[in-house]
Amino acid sequence: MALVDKKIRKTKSLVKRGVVLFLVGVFLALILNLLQVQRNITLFPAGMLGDLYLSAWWVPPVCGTAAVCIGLMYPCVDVKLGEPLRGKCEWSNVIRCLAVFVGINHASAKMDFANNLQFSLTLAAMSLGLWWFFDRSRSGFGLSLFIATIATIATQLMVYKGFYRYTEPDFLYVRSWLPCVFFSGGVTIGNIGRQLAIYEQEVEKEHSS
Amino acid sequence: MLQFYGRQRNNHHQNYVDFFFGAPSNVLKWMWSRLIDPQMKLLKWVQDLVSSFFYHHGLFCARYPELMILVSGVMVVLCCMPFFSLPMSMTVFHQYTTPLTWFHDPSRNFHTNHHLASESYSDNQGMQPQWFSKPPVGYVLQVVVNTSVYPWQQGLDKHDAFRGPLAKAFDINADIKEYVSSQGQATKSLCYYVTQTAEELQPYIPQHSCLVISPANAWSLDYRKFLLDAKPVKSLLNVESVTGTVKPDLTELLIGFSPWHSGFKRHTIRSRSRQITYAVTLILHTYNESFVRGLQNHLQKKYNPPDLQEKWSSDETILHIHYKSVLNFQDISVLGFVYCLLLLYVYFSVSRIEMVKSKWGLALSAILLVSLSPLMAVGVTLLLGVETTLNEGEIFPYLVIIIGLENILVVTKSVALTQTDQDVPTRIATGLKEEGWYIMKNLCAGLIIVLWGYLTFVPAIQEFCILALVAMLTDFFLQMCFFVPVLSLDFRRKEHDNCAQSQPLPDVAIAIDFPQSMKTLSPFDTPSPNLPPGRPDRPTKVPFAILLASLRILQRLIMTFLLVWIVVSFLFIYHSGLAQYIYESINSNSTISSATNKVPRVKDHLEYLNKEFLDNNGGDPLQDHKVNRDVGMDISSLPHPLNNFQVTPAVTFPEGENSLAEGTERFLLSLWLSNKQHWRFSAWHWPALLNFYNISLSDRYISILPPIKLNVQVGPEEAIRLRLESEKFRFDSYKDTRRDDEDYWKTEQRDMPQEYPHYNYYLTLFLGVASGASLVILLLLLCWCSQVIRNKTPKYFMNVAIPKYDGQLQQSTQCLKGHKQEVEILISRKGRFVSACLGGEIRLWDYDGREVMCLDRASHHNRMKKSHSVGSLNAMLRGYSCGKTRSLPRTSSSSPFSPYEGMSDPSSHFGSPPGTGTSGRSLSVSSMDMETYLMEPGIDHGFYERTDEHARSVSPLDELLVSEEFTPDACSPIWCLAFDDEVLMVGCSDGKIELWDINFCRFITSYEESTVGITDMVLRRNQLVVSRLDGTLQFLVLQREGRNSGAPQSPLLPGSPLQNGMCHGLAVDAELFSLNTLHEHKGPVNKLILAKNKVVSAGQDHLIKVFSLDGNEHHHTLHGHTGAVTTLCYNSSCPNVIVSGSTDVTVRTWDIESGNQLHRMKVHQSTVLEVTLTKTHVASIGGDSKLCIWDQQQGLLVHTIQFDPGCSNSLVPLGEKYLITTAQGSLIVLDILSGKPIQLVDLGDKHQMIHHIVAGTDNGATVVCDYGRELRMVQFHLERSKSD
Repeated sequence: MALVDKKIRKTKSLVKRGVVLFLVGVFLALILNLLQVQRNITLFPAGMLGDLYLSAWWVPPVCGTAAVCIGLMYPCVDVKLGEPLRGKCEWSNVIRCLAVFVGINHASAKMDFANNLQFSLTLAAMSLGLWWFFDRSRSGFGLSLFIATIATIATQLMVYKGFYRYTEPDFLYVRSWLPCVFFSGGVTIGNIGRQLAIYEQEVEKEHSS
Repeated sequence: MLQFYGRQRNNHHQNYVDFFFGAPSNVLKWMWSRLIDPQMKLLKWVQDLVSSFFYHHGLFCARYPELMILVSGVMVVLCCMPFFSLPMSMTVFHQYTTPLTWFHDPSRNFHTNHHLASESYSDNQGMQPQWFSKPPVGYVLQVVVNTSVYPWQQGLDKHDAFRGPLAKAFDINADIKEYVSSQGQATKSLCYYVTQTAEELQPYIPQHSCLVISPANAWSLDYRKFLLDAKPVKSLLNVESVTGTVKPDLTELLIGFSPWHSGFKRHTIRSRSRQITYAVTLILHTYNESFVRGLQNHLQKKYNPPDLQEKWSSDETILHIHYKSVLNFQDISVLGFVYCLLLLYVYFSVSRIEMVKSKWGLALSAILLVSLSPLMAVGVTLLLGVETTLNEGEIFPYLVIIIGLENILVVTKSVALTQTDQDVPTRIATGLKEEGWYIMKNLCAGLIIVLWGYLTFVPAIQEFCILALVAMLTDFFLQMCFFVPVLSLDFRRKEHDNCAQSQPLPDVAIAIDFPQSMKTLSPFDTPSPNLPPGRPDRPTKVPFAILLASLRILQRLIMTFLLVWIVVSFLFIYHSGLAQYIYESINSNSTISSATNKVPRVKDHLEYLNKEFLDNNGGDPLQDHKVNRDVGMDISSLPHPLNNFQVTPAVTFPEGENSLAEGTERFLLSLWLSNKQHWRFSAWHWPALLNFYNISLSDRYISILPPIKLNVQVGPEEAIRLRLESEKFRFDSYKDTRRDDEDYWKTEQRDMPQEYPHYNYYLTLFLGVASGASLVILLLLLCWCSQVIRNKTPKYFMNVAIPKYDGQLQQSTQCLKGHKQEVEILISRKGRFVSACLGGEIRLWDYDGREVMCLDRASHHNRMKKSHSVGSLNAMLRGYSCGKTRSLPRTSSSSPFSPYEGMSDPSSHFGSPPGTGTSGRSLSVSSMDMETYLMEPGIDHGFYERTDEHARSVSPLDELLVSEEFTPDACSPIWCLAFDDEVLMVGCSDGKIELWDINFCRFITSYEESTVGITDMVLRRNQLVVSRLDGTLQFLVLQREGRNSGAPQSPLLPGSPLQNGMCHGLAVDAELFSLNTLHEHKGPVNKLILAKNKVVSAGQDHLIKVFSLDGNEHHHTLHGHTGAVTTLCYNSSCPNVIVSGSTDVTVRTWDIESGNQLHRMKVHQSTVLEVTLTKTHVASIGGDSKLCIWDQQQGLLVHTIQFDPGCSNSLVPLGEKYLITTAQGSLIVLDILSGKPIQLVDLGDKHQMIHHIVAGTDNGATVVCDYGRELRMVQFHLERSKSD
């Protein structure tokens, strides 16, 4: 009976976390989209973009599900590898990470760079910095890298297959921008997921004790 | 690694084993540690430095929190001030540049039918921003004019420097408006036509015409009005008030850029050549390259000097500025999201504050801190002249996120975790110290990251990094100077609450705090049990003046007033231009102008010119400025009015060239070079300008063409002419009102600027001197006040109604009488003490209050004197030899004197010169036994006859009567005493050491080696050390002979009444032999004490010397005092430590074993009279009537008690916990730990001075003090019942 209870509770918590993560993912996708749209308006001539507000309707849900996966994967990987992060787990840290992530995107959207190499280098450096500041675990690094590669490959496949057109003229620019965004996004979402997991654990402890 | 290293040092054996049998990694480790060790040491040193900085800063902040908060508030306000001058606009601008040369106006597509080559257009298509496809609002063409009156001459006044250049604006304005290009295009057709504007602006900016703006618009393009103006610069600069406080103001728009760079100065002192720069702005609605170039050529040909033609180079660009309105959905939503994140972050961080009294207060201050830092950063960057293109509203949340609230949380937690029993400043300091290194590390890491970001060389990121850097620094500053004091205030409140909870505070008037400087050690804060805690025992009424003084209101008022005054005077100095004057006079290597301007007499001038004018032109010549110029040409042909004066080119070129043209060019070129930076114009200029016509630039852009640069030189003649014209005009207008000549001159002189730079100069000088003097006085006052407050320790008046402490120490007082005169010396040892009075009486008492013995030295001395007069005795006694054994005949049955035979070295002790050598032996003659012998009838008088050599058979009694040498003079005064169970030594001022037998109260012998007075002596078993006035120390050995072999005599029974001089008992024979005489001190020896098995001497020559008891070893010389050492003390409960006090007002503790000074304690203001030592404390009494209690281990002052002057002279410890000191007519018992007097033992007469007090050494609970002729012995019962 207790085991069933426990299982129910566990699934409940999982579902809760999943919902939160989904919402966060969708929201972030929207915001980033807005930023990109802004960038296009300021820096690139009109007439190339189909829709001003959404590049494609299915992007936010996909991002949401991706966020759910990442957010749930992180704590599991942590537990599996045996490096639970206890030190820096506070909500303020998580929010800070999120804000820095949005800031990086904001900056990349607003600024125009002299050449793409500079842009990609800067962005890569900022992403690494984000990881270093808010999550110094190797598992986090590895997982984010993995996610970034997977996502880039997926996007390329989609473009190849013609499901999604690049609206931006510069290929290379997008190529350098996308993995960095996925990397830092992965770190951020992972942090959120970890924090949620710990929060749930503590709530559970309170309930049980 | 380091551990290993340490182990290696301490444990050689282990290391040996390790080296040979351990792994080679040990060796590597050892090498590595050798390398790292110095770095670690450096790191450790840096860490210690940082920690100590934070500690002291924490202490300071916690002690003066309000002051620190005030200071930080002032800094914040100062830094934020430029922030408020930023134009608040809802637009953000983006810049985009295109090259000039083959620029094609996209608006041509709309306005003309030219078909452009599509290649040239589509080339840039991809890179062009979206907004660029539309035509701009207009093209801005600025004609930047750089003028000055050159060469400067004497006789030109300061307004001349401006008037000439400003007049050019009119010319250029007209030129531009009327220009028609060679192709027939007129400005009027190409310019941007504007319509009506607001009413107050109407006189100043064009309406219903071309938009051409220049400084001439300040006079509505009316030359006449310009001439009527006596102070053109002032009226130009005053135009800014029309638009109010909106920046950029109208002056800036008229001039073309910020007045800072233009050279227009409102207040001028000096008349010198000034470089004026302004711009005439023209806005075109289409860009026609040929037109623009034609205009440029025309203007440059007309105004520039012939050699200087600045053409646009080929890489000139057109700058397009797009003003994007921020009020669109995407921006707002993203911004809103970021602000939400910021709020969440702040909330989560702030909720982590705990263990503080007021969470809300600290949270608010944290939020304030973290939001003020970016504002301050922006303000500071603006002050430094860095204008950012970033929108501050957008980057504000990111800055706050980067700064973070971590430091605050960490500091709060660390302080909250310190021990609660310490006082607040210590807690804050300790907490801060713990986290100091962490904070510094974080700051450095942040700075490094920001620097790294700067190196990406992306301008926007660089700007952001600069802002982030400044924000981090301001945040650090605010944390230290604002948050730490707030934290200390909070903790103080918390502590008050805690105190209030545990013990209710008495509702008494404000109890004045002990100044912090006095209580340097706080662990001894435990109050004594009988006093209510937290309140010093004193009268409860606190005078208002003391309250004021303690709050230091007066000082603070003076300080703020002075600060305000200094600020005002500096502003005054700045505005009067004195600083600039000084700067220029230092820097200029040319005498451009002198303060002593020989102003031509206006009267003569004007008359002359008037005449000339009216003669030449007749009527009003000044209708059009063109005519004016012609007139000007004519004027110059006239004999120059200034020719009467010295006209020399005041500027000398360093190269010494005389060609004016070249010089001009060089001069002018240098003007340009120095002015390059004024091209950092404000992008808000154009929206403001077009706003006047209700033309909005949001979501549109404007193109700025490269400026046309003109260099106009205004000759001095022209400047003068303008001035005279202007004066004439004013005269004319005044003439219309029919002013009198005299009145006119009066008004003219009033209008004339007072060329008295000296007036201002002297005024500012006076102000500066006055400020400086008052500053110095204030500082002195502050120092004096702080000193007074520090010394304002509570006085414990003896006679005021301080209640007699309900002494829980029970005491019993006993009065010991017996002396006939005042008691002078009092010493104690083991169970007995000895008192000596002025009359030469020595009494021995024990601690039960019984008198054991009394010696009348005086009578003995008299007797000796008497017998000295008897010559036979003299001779006889001279005949005595110093022998080994002697016996004292008591009765006739006692053995007679055995004469000494073989006397080798006869020496008499009756005043004959001392014997030879240092190893003389004392002739001990007991005069008393002689007397008894003489008195006794049964004595074999044959004794005398035995010494045949010097025998004289004279009846001693007869001789006594007829002695003429008998003079009843006083015996030499006693200076010191020493005693043990059997003998008593008396040290006299004439150098004698008298030995007396205690048990039989008889004189044994005296040692008269030298006549130098004996200042002090110590006796230990058989060793006697004596110090003399001349600084010699004599080490003597007391050899006691056993009892005489005669009939056993009963020793003196204690308690039996003593008779003066006639004691009977077992005799002790003793002799003193000198072992060593050392001349160690250069002055008299003030004190000798026994310390362990050494003897310590304190000399007038500032030295303390430690010897062995036999004088063979000189262990140490303790250097350190800078004045005569007056007192020494040693306590066997803390071996190895002695304490000394001296006239250099210091009290020092020393280690006898090593000879090192342990501590130096300086609080007294006058000679230290007495020191005493307990196990843990040192107490000292100084000539300033202060009693200071020090902690022995740390050498820190614990308590200071101020007595009435003359009150206390001596001091002994009572047990372990108390001190007793003497006061008038009473004794005061003080508790060492609390430093408070707890008992007053009233001994009787309040006017009786008590000089000495000694403690009984049995259990330290009995003290004896002298009380005039009596002695008072007070016994305390130290075990008291605790009242709580």
